[in-house]
Parts: sequence; C-alpha cells; structure tokens
Amino acid sequence: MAEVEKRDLPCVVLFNINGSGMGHLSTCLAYANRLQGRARPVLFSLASAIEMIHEMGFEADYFVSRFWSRATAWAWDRQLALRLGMLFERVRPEVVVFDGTWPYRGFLEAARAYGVPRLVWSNLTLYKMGMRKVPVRESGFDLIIQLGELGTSFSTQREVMPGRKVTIPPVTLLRDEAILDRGNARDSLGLDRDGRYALFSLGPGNLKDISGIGRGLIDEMKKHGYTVVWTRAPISASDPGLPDGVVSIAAYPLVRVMRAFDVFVGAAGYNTCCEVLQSGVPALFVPNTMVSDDQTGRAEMVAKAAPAVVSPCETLAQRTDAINRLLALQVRERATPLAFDLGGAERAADEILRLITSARCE
Amino acid sequence: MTLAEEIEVLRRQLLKLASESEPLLAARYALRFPPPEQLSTYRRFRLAVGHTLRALGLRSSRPIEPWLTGLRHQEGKGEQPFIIWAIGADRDVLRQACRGFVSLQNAWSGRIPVLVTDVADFAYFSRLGWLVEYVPTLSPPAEHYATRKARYLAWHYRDAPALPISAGLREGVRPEELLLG
Repeated sequence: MAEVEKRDLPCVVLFNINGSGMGHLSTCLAYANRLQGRARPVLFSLASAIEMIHEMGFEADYFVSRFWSRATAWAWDRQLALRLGMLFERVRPEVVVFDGTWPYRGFLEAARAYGVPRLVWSNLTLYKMGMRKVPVRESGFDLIIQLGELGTSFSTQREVMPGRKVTIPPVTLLRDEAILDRGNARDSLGLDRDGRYALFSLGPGNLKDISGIGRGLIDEMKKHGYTVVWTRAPISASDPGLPDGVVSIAAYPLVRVMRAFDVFVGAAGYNTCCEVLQSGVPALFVPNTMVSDDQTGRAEMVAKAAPAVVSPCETLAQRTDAINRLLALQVRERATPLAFDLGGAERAADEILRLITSARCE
Repeated sequence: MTLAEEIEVLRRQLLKLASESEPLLAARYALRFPPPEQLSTYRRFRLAVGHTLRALGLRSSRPIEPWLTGLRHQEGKGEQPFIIWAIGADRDVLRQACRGFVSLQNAWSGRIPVLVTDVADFAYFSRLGWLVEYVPTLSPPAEHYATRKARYLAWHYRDAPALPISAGLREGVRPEELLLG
C-alpha cells in the first residue's frame, strides 16, 4: 500500500503481554492481519519476537516483559506508562487494544493521560478454577472482546458502551488460504515428501522445564519410526539440548507449515489449539499446568471434537499410552476436514473498526 | 581513531541527545497509585491527607524506585548497567560485536549490559540475557519516533557508561580500555 494511503488509515495500537508462549502476540497479530488495509496496526509488544512481527509486515515497538524484568512493579509500570505515552503521541491511535489477563497500571495510566479515544480489552474466557479476580473495571474499556473456545459463536453479552462486551469464535492467526498444503509445507521446510514426521512444540520452556517430558516423548516417537521436528520458540531464553536425529526448526507462525506433519505434540495454549483445529493434524496435547488459563480443560474440549489426545506425559507409561493413542488417531482420521467457526479474528477486527466509526461520529 | 576516542565521541553524542529529551514527558505520564476511582472514601481521605502533608513538607515523598536493568533468568551479574549503543548497526556486525562483549565479560566488573539498538534480532538477543531497548523506525506520521525514543533513552541511562559496538569488535581489548569506571 502506498505510504500516503497508509498514513490516512486510522491507527490501532495492539498491546500484547508476554505470557508463557507466543499466544498473546499471536492474537494481536491475528487482529492486525484482519485490520490490514482498513487500519494501520502498530504493535507494542512485551514478547520479544519483534522480527516475527516485522516479517508479517507490521510495525512494532518492544518493552521488556514484567515477568523478565527485575525492576519492581512500580518502577516497571512507570516506565511502561512513559514509553506507551511516547508512542501514542507519535502514532496517534484511534483505538488501543490490550490483549492479556490483567491490564497493567502503566498501560491504563498512559491511555488516560494521552486520552486514547477508544480502549479495548481482549482476553481469554477459560481460566483455572480459583484464579484471583482481576481488580480492573470493565467499564473502563469501551469494548471487551472475550476469546471464545471451540464451538463458540459470536454473541454480545452487553450492548451499551462503555463496557460493551462480545464473545468471538476462536481466533486464528492466518486465514485458511495462507496455510500451505502438505507437499508445499514439506518443500518449504526441506522435508522429504514421503517421510514420517512428528512436530513438537512444547513451548519456550521459560515457565516450565519441559526438557524431561520432551526427551521421553521424542524417544517414544522415534521407536515408531518418526523423525521428530522440534520447534525453537523465538522467545525462549535457551534451547534444550536435543538428542541426535531430531531436526530443529524455527517457524512462525507454525500453522503455515503444520500440515507438513503427520502428528503434532505440544502444549495446549489457546493459539496452539486453534492452529491444531485449523490444520486438522492429529495432536497430542501436554497441558502446561503452570499458567493461568485452563489448558487441560481446553485440550479435553478439543479432543472431544477433533483428532486429539490429552496426557500430562509425566511418566513413561503415560507417554507410551499417549503416543499409541495418537498414532491410532493418525491412521484413522488424517486430514479429516473439520467444520468449526474459527472466524474470531475477523469479528474482532470488525468490532474494532466499528469503534473507530462510532468515535468519529461523536 | 583509538577506542578511547570513539568512546569519548559516543559519550559526548549521548550527552547531547539526553539534553534534547523532553523533561515534561515523565510528568505527563507519571503513575498515580492506585487509580483513585477504585478507592474507598476512607482511602481517598487518607491519600488526600498524605498529599497535603507531603506538599507542606511534613512527610517524606515516596522514594523513586530504581530502574533495575537485570533480567530474572540471569542471576548474579550485578545491577549497575553499562550501555552498548548500537543504533544504525548492521545485523551481522552487531552479532559479532555482541560475541565480543560476551568474551569481555570479565572486564565488566559487576556491571550488566543494556543493548540499545534499532536492529530487530531478538531471537539472537534473547539468548544473551541482556535487557534490550529497541528503537524502531516507524512510518509517517511517526517518522520522528526513533529520534525521540533515542533521546529519551540517552537521558534515562545518562548515569551509565556507554560503549560503541566497535569496543566489541576490537581484538585484545584490555578491561581498563572500556572506561567503565
């Protein structure tokens, strides 16, 4: 798009927190992807995979995550408010979207001080029981977008603004047409078209040491004659040592090449589950129980509707059983098209654009 | 130019940049604690009394908590930062320089690096374990954002000694040549 035309588009700042993986960044990128051409998305990311954002064609700034920084919460929030304010004053957003569980004080303060015209809070709905209530009022936001799980269709919980609240179907980073078929995906990764491949994506390992489980699953998979392909997460601070014969790749978004693989083994984060549903690849979910969202609940929900197995895989017996069940699924159900509404990102983009229109009409 | 001269030139440039930063920015985005709309009447009253006493000089102000530049997954490397100023660097040259700085880590004498850069190579940076301050180039109308952020960072880290990336590229640099104090 010509620079002049792009300049005339309304700016939407998308702010993603840094969770256990790339989920919040992926959600913001999914929104940005659907806003492209109708708005000018600028990301402010606490996840450090900035080059991935640029590769997808978007502008971004970065600030160190609160979970990584040794600064106190107060000092970190103070810096966050100032950095965001600096950005807002230059890009002049008409809408600012916060994607995350707990809107930071620094974020809210920057939005207030700058006078952001429209504020949006995008968040998951499926959390573990007993999670502490977030002490932030929804009425402080013009729109709350709740990311629905499998089987969710678009609905409006509260119509009036501020605090209009909608639930959207699952969000996928890419549109279906952007996902490579099996042959092209294998070619793009340099994999043998006739080989048997298992994709492993157990997360960056920044919150939970998955190396033991990972190694055990690799051994099981190799016994069945599969080549294991291990994804290196762009935000991981270190790589686990991989056994001989394991192929390491760095691919983001992973869903683009997911159909290259016969089976998938990974954590059950929101975006991973959506990617599994979108690609139709049989999956073994190893839920990460150290995060706030209910990965076990989500994985079980997906497994009822799609070719998927759920297991903690902490013991050898659990791993053997899980891999056997996964491979049985793979024989029975490979490439079965699934019919779910995964158009959440489109609905979110429409809602964000509606906000811009409403703000301009005032 | 000798390394000492390069360091001197960079530190002078950063002083100038810092002098051009916006003093009102911090005040404009000062953090209020906690957001008043969530407080009970009693807490509001207590806060109002506190504000008044501080305004009259009868109570000390809340001390400003320092900005710690260490990362949680990097233990025991000290807390005093030094800056590696890498604006306008080539990606591969910067990687080479970073490797050089890592090999010089005994010369840091308890300091930890903060990398200030406009290069988006975070897959590499994240394994270094350093705080990265990114200075992106944005398209119009935000084309001056990078300059603004660079000025702010120069001011924010004004007390930390800065090094050019050439310090990481030179062979056989002695610790005292880094002038880290």
